[in-house]
Amino acid sequence: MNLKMKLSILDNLIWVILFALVVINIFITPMFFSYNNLMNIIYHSAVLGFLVLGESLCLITGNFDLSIESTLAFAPAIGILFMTRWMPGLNPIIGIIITLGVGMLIGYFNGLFIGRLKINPFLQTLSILIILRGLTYYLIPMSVFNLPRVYTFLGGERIIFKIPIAVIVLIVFIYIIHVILTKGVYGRSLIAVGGNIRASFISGINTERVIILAYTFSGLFAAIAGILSVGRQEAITNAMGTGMVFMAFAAAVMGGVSMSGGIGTALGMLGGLLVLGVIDNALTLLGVNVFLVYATKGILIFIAILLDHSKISIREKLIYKEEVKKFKVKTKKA
Amino acid sequence: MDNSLSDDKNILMRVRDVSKIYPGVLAVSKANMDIKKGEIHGLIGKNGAGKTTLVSLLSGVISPSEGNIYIGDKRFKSLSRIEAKIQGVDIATQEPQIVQVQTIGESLFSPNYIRKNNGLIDWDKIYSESRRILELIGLDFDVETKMGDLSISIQQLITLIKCFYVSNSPIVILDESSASLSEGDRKVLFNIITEKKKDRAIIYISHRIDEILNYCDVVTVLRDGKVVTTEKISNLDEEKISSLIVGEENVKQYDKTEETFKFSATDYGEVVLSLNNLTRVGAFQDINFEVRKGEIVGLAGLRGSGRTEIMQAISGIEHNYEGEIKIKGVKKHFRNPAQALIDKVAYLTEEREKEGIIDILSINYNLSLLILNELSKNGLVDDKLERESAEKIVKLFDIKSFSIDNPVRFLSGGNKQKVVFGKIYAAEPEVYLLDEPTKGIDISTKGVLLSMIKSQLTKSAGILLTSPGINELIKVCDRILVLFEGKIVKEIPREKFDEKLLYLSMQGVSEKN
Repeated sequence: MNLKMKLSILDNLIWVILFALVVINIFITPMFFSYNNLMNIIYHSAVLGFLVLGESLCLITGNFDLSIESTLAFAPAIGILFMTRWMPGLNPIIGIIITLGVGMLIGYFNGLFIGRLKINPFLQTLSILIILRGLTYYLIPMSVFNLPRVYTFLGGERIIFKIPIAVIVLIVFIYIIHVILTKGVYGRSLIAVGGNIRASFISGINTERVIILAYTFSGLFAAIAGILSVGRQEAITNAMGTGMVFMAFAAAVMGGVSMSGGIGTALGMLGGLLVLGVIDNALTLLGVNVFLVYATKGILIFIAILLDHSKISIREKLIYKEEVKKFKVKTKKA
Repeated sequence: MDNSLSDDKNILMRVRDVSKIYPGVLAVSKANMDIKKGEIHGLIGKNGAGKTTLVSLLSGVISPSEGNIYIGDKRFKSLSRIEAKIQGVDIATQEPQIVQVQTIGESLFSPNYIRKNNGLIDWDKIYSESRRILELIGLDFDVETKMGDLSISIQQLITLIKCFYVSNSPIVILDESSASLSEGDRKVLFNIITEKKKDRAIIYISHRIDEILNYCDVVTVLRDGKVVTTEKISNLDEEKISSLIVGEENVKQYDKTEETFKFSATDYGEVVLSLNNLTRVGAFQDINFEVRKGEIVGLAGLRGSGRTEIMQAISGIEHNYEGEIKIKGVKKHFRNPAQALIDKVAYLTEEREKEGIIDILSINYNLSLLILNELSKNGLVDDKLERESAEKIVKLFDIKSFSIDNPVRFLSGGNKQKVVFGKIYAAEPEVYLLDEPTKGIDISTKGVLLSMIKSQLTKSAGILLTSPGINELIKVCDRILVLFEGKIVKEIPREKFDEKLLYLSMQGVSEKN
């Protein structure tokens, strides 16, 4: 196996794991392979998927965002309150725009404090996490149903071959993030800032703007996740999203996004997301207690962190060995 | 030098044929020294002569590649820091090693705190002892002040006081300790060492010839890792020491063998950079000079003389200053490096690892960092363009790696520096601010880089260059401005380049003619 293949496997480890899991499922859970089941896995992952996208952007810059699960509930809450109570009869499209706007504002606020004022991201996003959740409980003491169909459309509806629209939206955005990260100038700046913020600053990158944008995206994607979640439930509940931020971390880290910044791919994020979804689905099909399933996800996170840690040194060793080999060949010829 | 163990009980440490070899560099070569009690033993030499490496070997910070160190009757092939401390060797480094949140008292006594009988720390005793010591020296500070709230000068002074009043080690090494001290605190230091030398041996490293002449009893001069000589101060003066440091006999020799650059009467282009009365309190004062296109102007000076600070002011990294900076005749005041780059002013940092490269990213990505906008369309980077640009630079600078997709972290120091250079070169600047571009690089790469600076970079830009090594400045510069304590004290045109003159000017010594 040559170096390129080895590095490919290492970089895309999560897909190798996914593949292994799928193979295992052939033997253990044949029910796994029904079209409905597979579609459901991705459908159920869509909400988390957007959280993973936003969180990953922050992680790549070397920061993180704890507030996204509260934004997920708060942004739609504001949009829905406008539509149902404050300005009843409001066009639901405006409702969606308000939701997205609120998400972006929250993200921008976070980004401003973390990127420009250099406030510790943990403290900043933790406070927002708590504040927004409290406000959401206050504003939505009881679940709100009977929401306009246009609003729930994205999250709740399906089209051809019963593919949920939410899945399509997720895949579109994953592709967009993929393009930005691999080819976009902004993506390059993200990776540079995460890799070495000081060097990026001296190289002329507006590091503050890069971070502010990353958090704004994070807020925006959390709002989208909220809209999808509301669509799926066809209601807004004040506890929605609780506990999801850690799963977002898990999927991101399993997908190869490094906690120290500068590393991450859209494909990896998708991989991490699917592995979590597949494990959840398979264990549930096997009748494993839901709490044990939860614990298993924790074990996965642990393994992911260990892998993330050792991946760098394994990678270095592989590349170094290759350079030594090539050097020996070169000197033999000389 | 007597290689056997002599009877002199006053010799606390003997260094015999100690060498330190790094890949490609002989940092210290067969050094021999006797460190005697009751003496302040000076150690002087140019930047890179091996002073810090030598004392690091003596204090256990690093291990010798060969040779022996005798402390008292014991022979050591290598020391660890802990072993050295046990044997009584203490070292005060150039930058004060302190914990910001500790108080003066705690800083003086940690980690060997005075304890009560029950094992707990006796803070009362620690603070009263600290007060006593400060009073003895004449320092007026509350011993419960946090170290972080003190100036660097006082911080350094406290670490020095610790060496002499608390640790009581018989051998104390001071590595350029006076560099961080204010004028007044320097006097305090010299009072301390003059008094405390009675029961100790003190090794004193300094760049300043006046300090060596005034306070040392004996001095060892290092050049290129070798001990040139060890002489009694009474036999020396400024003239003699600087000759020893610089090496008279060598100057003429290497001019013939080394590559010399052509300095024809080139027509320099327009003035690309001009500074008028540039001042920043505490860093530099009334700086005036111009750089024209095609010209290489050198900034020479000791650490702290203002070289880096001036460059950082021009490039927008530290933008607080008074005075005027003009780029191609237009007044500019850059608030950050991004603005400077837009106006084609590029800064090569001193610390390439920390500030020059993003080590987890590939060579390719690093090289395109400054020109992403030129390489992209509609916000998306053109892969092909980017790779072409990178390959061109790799070829031009001869960056040795088998693939431009390899992360920069795997390159050698010299190649990393070439990447930083290439990155800046790609932006086609019109003003280059090169801060110690050959720092810590092996000799062959140094030559290549200097060549490039002289032949390539001057084609389209004006260059401001600083270097710790006088030789490099002499090799490539058209003229050299000497900085001393923030002011320009001398301007030397190429015809008058002289290593000794430069060295003395950097010390603040004016010509005696």
